[in-house]
Amino acid sequence: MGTKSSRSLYETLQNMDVRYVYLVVLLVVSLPILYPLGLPVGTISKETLGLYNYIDELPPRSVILLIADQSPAAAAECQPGMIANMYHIIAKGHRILFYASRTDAPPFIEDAMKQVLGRSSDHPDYGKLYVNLGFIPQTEVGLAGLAADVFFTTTDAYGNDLRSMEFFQDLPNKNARDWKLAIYYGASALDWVVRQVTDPYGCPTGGGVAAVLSSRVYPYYPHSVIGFLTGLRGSAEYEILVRRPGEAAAGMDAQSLGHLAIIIMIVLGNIGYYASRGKPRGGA
Amino acid sequence: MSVVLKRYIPTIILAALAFFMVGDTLIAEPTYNSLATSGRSAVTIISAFAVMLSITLLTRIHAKRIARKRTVIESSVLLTCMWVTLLWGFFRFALYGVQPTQEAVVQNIFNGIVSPGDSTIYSILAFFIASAAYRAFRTRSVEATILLAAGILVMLGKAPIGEMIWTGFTPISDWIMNVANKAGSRVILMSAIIATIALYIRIILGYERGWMGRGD
Repeated sequence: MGTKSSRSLYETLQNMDVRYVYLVVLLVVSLPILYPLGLPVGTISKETLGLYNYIDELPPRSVILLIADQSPAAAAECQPGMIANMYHIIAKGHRILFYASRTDAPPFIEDAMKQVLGRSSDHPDYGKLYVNLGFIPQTEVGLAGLAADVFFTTTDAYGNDLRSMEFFQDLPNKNARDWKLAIYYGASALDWVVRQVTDPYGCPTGGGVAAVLSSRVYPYYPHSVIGFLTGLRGSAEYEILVRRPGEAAAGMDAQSLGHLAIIIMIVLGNIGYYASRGKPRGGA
Repeated sequence: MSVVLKRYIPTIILAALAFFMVGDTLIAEPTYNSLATSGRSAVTIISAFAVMLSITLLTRIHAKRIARKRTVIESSVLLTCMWVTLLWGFFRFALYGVQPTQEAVVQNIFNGIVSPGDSTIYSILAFFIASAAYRAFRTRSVEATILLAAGILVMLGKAPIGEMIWTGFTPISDWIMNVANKAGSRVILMSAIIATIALYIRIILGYERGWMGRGD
């Protein structure tokens, strides 16, 4: 009797209605966001520290290129990291050159500028410390053009003439040799940034990438890519480092429980699989 | 003559431009480099025109669908209506000099429709991944078991709760990503690069002619 009931439990595990799985995922992701558990982020990874330390050690007024390649889908993971990076870069007195490589990325630059600086093109330091180039078409070709000549687009995202801006006046080469770091935010790939900026001009690459992309970044780390933020966890780590916990740190509870739920489901599914394999066939 | 025009001249132009752009990375000569930069500018300008061409073609296709009323036309009507935003952007920029990045209508459409829609579609993946992991991720073979174990260890190592359960998950996860994953990714990456170089050499030499269209 006991064996029969345990076998029926295994069969139930094997053939469980998929809607229960959806319900579990919904609960474990949404409840911690509504009612935070306050789990600590944990040890800061070497990849995150690599980016943080590099920015920290740059001399003031260094030019850093921020490449926005995040779609709205990837922004949940990348945008908090970009904002945390900006807080750090601005606190260290560096200059930021923004550039969007996808058509739907410019609003994220605007959003980050407004969130961190309070304003965008009407900020008093716009044109001196910050310049937003907006969208440049043809991802890799666009970056190659910009790296070869910073006046590639002639105007910024708001139609202002780049040559008259104070930002560029003391740059000796007017190309990527003047940049100290290029940070890519997105979910597609950052190979092209390494190809067009790091290899020919010696400007290292950093990243704030979606977790799904991280495996493609490791081949370049730590030589070409000096550090990068891996998904929401990386963004949360950077928020902790700059002492500005925000959306990413708040999302860590949901990510923790989500990962745990998926692992438990995989284990249960395998228990059901092995138990049902041992069931005698035929009989009726 | 037609073969010369259709096949050889485009190949010669392509090969000349390709060698010219490759030379830009090898030769540091200001005039040469400046010309190559102009070449890249030309590509971005041509791509902008290509977008306009694609919009025109797409509009024609959907206008025909609406006129024929043969298939479900709601999506075609919606798409055509969305072009209004483009016209609105051109109108505001041409008459008032308002940049699209600062256009309130565009911003509202992006924040109200595009962003939530895209995020929703992506977030639905979490449900499918969880469901697929539960139903299909089985330790049927040694390879599948290794993959499953590596996946679980990385998931625990990358989530704060893993470190709370056992501090050893993080170094194991780091080793998997930094050693095993890096080695595998490098192999895939280098293979892809070599294959890409081979493909471009074939295109430059005229063995691959798919980019020319149907030809004869």
